[in-house]
This record gives sequence, structure tokens and C-alpha cells, in this order.
Amino acid sequence: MSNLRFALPSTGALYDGTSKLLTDCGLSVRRANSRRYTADIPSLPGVDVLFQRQSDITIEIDGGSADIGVVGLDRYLESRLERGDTVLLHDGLGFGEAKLVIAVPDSWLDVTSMADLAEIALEFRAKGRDLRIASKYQRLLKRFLNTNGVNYVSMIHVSGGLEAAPIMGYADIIADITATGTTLRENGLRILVDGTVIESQSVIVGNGRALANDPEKLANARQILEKIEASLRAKKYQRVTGDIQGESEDEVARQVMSRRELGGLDGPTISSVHTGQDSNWYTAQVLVRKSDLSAVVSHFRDLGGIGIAANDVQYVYRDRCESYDRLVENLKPFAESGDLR
Amino acid sequence: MASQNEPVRRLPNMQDVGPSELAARDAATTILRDVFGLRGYDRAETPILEQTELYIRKSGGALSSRLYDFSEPGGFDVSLRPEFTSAILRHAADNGSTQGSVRLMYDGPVFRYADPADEDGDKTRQFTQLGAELIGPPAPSADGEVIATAIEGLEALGLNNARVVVGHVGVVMAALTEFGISERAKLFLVTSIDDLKNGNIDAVTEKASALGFITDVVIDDAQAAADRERIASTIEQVMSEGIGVSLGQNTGSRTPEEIVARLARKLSQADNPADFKRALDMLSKLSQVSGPAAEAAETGSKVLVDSGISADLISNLTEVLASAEMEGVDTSRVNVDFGLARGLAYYTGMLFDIYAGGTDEETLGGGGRYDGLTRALGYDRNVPALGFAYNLDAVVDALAATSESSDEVTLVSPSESGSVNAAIEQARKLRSSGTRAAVEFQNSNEGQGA
Repeated sequence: MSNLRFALPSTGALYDGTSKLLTDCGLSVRRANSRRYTADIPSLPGVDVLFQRQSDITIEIDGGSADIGVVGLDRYLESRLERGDTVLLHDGLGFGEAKLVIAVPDSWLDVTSMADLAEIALEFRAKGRDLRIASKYQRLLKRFLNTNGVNYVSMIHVSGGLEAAPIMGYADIIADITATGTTLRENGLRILVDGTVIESQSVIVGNGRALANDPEKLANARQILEKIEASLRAKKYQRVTGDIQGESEDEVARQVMSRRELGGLDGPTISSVHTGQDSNWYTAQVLVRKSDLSAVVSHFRDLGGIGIAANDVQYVYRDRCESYDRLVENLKPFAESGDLR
Repeated sequence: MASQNEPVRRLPNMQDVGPSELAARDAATTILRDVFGLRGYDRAETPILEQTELYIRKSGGALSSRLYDFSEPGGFDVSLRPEFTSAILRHAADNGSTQGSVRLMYDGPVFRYADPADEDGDKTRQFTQLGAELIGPPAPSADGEVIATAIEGLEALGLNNARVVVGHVGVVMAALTEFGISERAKLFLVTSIDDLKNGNIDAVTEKASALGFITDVVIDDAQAAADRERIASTIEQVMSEGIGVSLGQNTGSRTPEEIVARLARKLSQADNPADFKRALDMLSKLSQVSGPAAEAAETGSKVLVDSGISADLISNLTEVLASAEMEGVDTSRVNVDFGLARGLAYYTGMLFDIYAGGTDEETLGGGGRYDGLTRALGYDRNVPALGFAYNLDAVVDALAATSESSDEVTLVSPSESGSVNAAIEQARKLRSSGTRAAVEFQNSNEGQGA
């Protein structure tokens, strides 16, 4: 029984995204100063926060020196051990969205697809040289290239400033992570039409063996997943209230439900408005998807509604926490045997 | 990674082989070496570690995502061998023995990685191959010999229901060539053959449309000529102004001329959608032809003739089947399947899969003819060659499933024999009569007499 060690990215877009997500969930991280690599979450005393380089987090969790962590799906798939101890706890936190793509010099007019690239690789080979591709993602890339028939390549491992590689001449093409493609375009590079290796975003991963065999760690992981799931779901909803005239609560409820699809996640809540005199006004309250907001407002207006207001909600819980249920399922092999699955 | 106080486990999908399995494999190996030896095959052995290039050249890359490749301490990019053929062929070529017919056999472990997400992701990644290569003869009778050898080996092991399914890459490629479509289109069609065989012509058509092989636009000859002219003038303009200058860009390690030349080639090779569609329809029908050899060959020729192609194309296949029969193969053991067309980068003629028969449909191995392989490996001429390999582990599994005899050790218990000495005596007697026997010792001191 011990504290859950929660690894977070120490810098960059994933650091910012994670900090905001945890704050939104009421799980703010308290860090004594920005040079400290450990921190805590005051609202969850059983959790120790470790700030790590993003590229190290999967390896730390695989090796058991951290229990769960936030990491890009791309990094997770690139560096996890096959059938090792890591499992995916949450498959999309809604930030850090990016694609790993293959890009060629824009001037290669004849190269638009992976099939073209396969031919170019053969042409290079015929001239006695290899097509050189610069990337940080050797493992994902190799598989993608091979399955697309691009076999004669030299992988050039570069950790930063990839976009410059073709201009500087130490690689012919690159595979890099990009959110918008702007940097690639500005450096005279073009993404191949079928050159997306993987679409990534931030995820939560954990060490299945550690979670399966320590109920306290699992309970803390569950708290984090519950909060995150409810908070992410809440971002999709708004609470709409409006005052509507009617003969009774039931009658107003029927009017609101006359358009069932706008009646809210679990149906409307109706309560009487106390004006000090006899009143036939009722307040209707529905929790609806943001995309349905204007339809609901029109619907309330059609029913003669006044004082219509919409509010954000912080959490929306359902009867079960889906990511926790999935985790429990994924932990079964670790609880049953200590062997590699 | 395991911490210091945990045992280091085997890698995923790698297995130990225990005494009884090993004994069965050794026994099968001895029998198969004898069968092949009687047909004139001699043993050869090649390194388990080779330059990765050897295997990429052979398979055109089809195996490359399955290679265990890494840099060795001397700086070479190497792979554990995924198959023997390329190394055996090199051995024959290096020894200048490609003049007459060379017959070589081999056996040993091969390594193939399979991604867990793939269909065969749970297969063992190290297994044992035992196979034979016949290098030199181009004649169909050599194909018949190889098919016969594959069946004889299994019969010698007691797998008396062994069957082969024969396909022919040469027939399929030659038939497609008749439609005048590009190499790229032919390759697309042949790699779609499994889908066509299963009747998914719609899925293949959809993919072909996405890749531009089929368009709704009707292109008449005048329009095509106009298109070509326009393309040619665009290219001329780019050439004269210089692609780098006109676009103000870096072309990397390729010259502007290389880029423009390939662009021109790519545009001029565009396929006529009507021809492509006819080729697709023919292949869809042909790929679904399978069954007993004679009947399937007959149906196959009919599909070709109906598509306006000469039935002579399949004469090589019928000669191969006839010579297999001459070699003693019971024709009821041979099926023809025109939809069997894998390993396109190296098979050039007939290819076949071997089955134990019975209900288990797992393949025990396969082979075929690869006349272009020596040149692909870098030698100055093509040497006709063909061969096959068993997956020996699958063969041994099939044997275990059919045989009832067991080769268990008889354990003699001292308590039943009266004393340890009596048990030793009894075990000796059993052994002298050829029965495997040993004394069953107690593992604790408790109850250990004398």
C-alpha cells in the first residue's frame, strides 16, 4: 500500500494542457517551484506527482518507477514494451492533438503518395544510395514504411529541428509530428496524401501490474479518472433554465418534452416560481449538449418562456465511469498471473 | 523490464522446446533428410545472421516488416534469417555450381516478427524450417519433382493424407499482360487477388477508383492526345525555366531533371479505364477457379478463352501437373487454385501450399518457382530455380495429432519393486529390451530406503 505515483510532462504544450485539465477537475497540482520535479495534489493526498520528460514517461511506467502518467499517444506507441506492463487508462484527453506525417520537399512534383515514395526509394537504391528519412519515431515509422512498400530507407535519428533536414541536406524527407502543418509548409515541405502514420492526442497510461496489485493505488487512479471523465463530458453540456407558464408542473413538463430530443440528458426538472401571489409560472431546467443550445432556446421561447439563461457545468457524471470499467477489465491478466501476456 | 528480484521471462511468442517435442522433431528431421537424400539432395548450412539487404532483395520488401533487424557490432545492418532460399541460392552461385542441376537441402530455425495487431500476431516468432532447393532446370518436369518430393516426405513420416494446392503466378501475370495495362495496374490487381477470390470485387473496384485506375470520365483518343500534348508542353516549360528557379525551392538530393522525367513517365503511363476494368473482371473470375487439378485447369482455360485470351497460357501448368503424376503423385492429392498468388516479388511460375489433409487446415509449408531470384540477388544472370520448405514444427504437430504411439519413459517405483536395488534391476531389464525406462526416485529424503 503506497501513494500513486502520477507522472506528468514537465514542459511544453502537454504540460500546459495537463495543468489546465487537472485544475478544471479540481485536482490542481501544487509545485513548490518550477525547478522542483516533485509535487502534490492537495485534494488527493494519496497521489505523488512526478514531472518527467515526455519521452521518458512511458519507459518509467513500463519499468514501474511511476504508476500512471499523461503522455501523447504517439510517444506511448513508439516506446512502450510489447506486451509489457502498460495499459491505456484514458484514450483521449482532448488536448495535444497532432498527426505524425511523412513530408517531402514541395518541389518533388511527381511524389504525392506512399506508392510514389516506394518507387523513389527503389530509384535511389538503383543509384547506390538510400532514401534518408529523418524522424524521432523509428518504430512507428519503420512499420508504416514497410507496410507501404517503402523498404530501402535509412532512418536518420534527429531530436529537434527536423524541418530543416532536407534543406541542410542530412536527410531527403522527414516524418514529424504536426498539429496544423504550417511549419512544414513554411519550410517547403508537403505532406503525402496517404502519409499519416498516426493521429495522436494526450492519453493516460498506467502500469497494469502495479494497479492490479495495490487497491490503494487503484482507488486513487479511479478518483482521477472519474473527475477527468466527468469534467471532459461536462465541456460538451450546458444547463439551460427558463420560466414557463402552465397549469401544473406536469403540464409544463409535458410541454418541454413535446420535443423529446430537447428535453435534456435525464429529462427536465420543473419547480414552481414563488412570486408571493398566486402564480402559474414554473422554472424548467434541462442539461443539453452545447450543439443543441439554440434549438432549446427557441423551443423555450415557443412555449412562451422568459428569463432564459444558459450556464456551463463543471462535471457531468453518468451511472458508471467508463474508463474505470475498462481499466478493471484490462487489469484482469495482471491479477491472474505474473507472466507476460 | 524486470526488476532484479524477478525472473527474466521469455520474449513474447518465443517458446522453449521440451524433450518430447525435440525428440519428435529430431526423428522427423532424420526421416526427411533420408527421403531428400535418396532424391539426390545434399545438405548445406548458411549463417543465421545475414545482411538485411539479402532478405529485402529477395522478397521485394514483403518480409521487411517481419525482420528482426539491428546493427551488429561491426557496423552492418543485419537480420536474423526469416527464410533460407536466398542464402542457399547465393551459396550455389558462389560455388559456381549453377551449370547443371544442383540439389540442396537445409534445416534450422527462422525468425519472423508479427505485430500483435496483425492477423497472425499470436504466432510463434521462431520456428524450424526444413526444405529443398533445385537450382538449374527450367523444365516443368523439375516442378513435378519438387511437388512429388514435398508429398513423399510427408508420406514417409506417416502423414498419408497429405495434399498440395497448386497456383501459378506466371499464368496470372501473363493473362493480365494481354490487356495492355501498366505494371502498376497489374501489381495492384494481383495484390488484390485475395479480395477477388472471396468475391469482394466491389471493395477492389472502390479502391481502384480511389487510386485513379477507374474513372467515370470517358476518355476518347482525341482527348487523350490533347492531354498528352498539354502535359508535354507544361513539362517543356518547367524544364526550360528550371523547376528550382521557377518554384524558388530546394529539390533536395534529386535534380530537377530527375523529378520532371519521372513526372512525365508517371503521366504517360496512365491506364485506359476500360482495359483495366476488363482485366479486373477476368481476374475476378479466374481467382475463384479452384478444385481437383484437371477440372480446375479446364475451367481456368475457359475463363481465359471467354476473355479473349489464348488457353495456351496455362500449358506450363498442365505440364507441371502431368510431370508430378509421372513422379508418382496421386492426382487426387492435387488441387489447383488460380487465386493462390502470393510472394509476387519472387515467384515467377507455379507455387504450392502443403497440407496434412484431414480436418486441420493449417499449412505445413509451401514453395514454388523463382527464376528471377539470382539476378535480384545481384548475380549477372538469371538461373532457373525452385524449391519448398516445411514448417517442421507444424509437421510435428500434425504427426502428434495423428499418431497414437507414445514414447513415454516407463518409471519403475522402488516401493512397488520392493527396494531401490530391485527397481534398478528392473529398469535395466526394460532398457535392454529397448523400452525407455528409469527409476522413479523420491525427491525428498523422507521414505528413501537403504
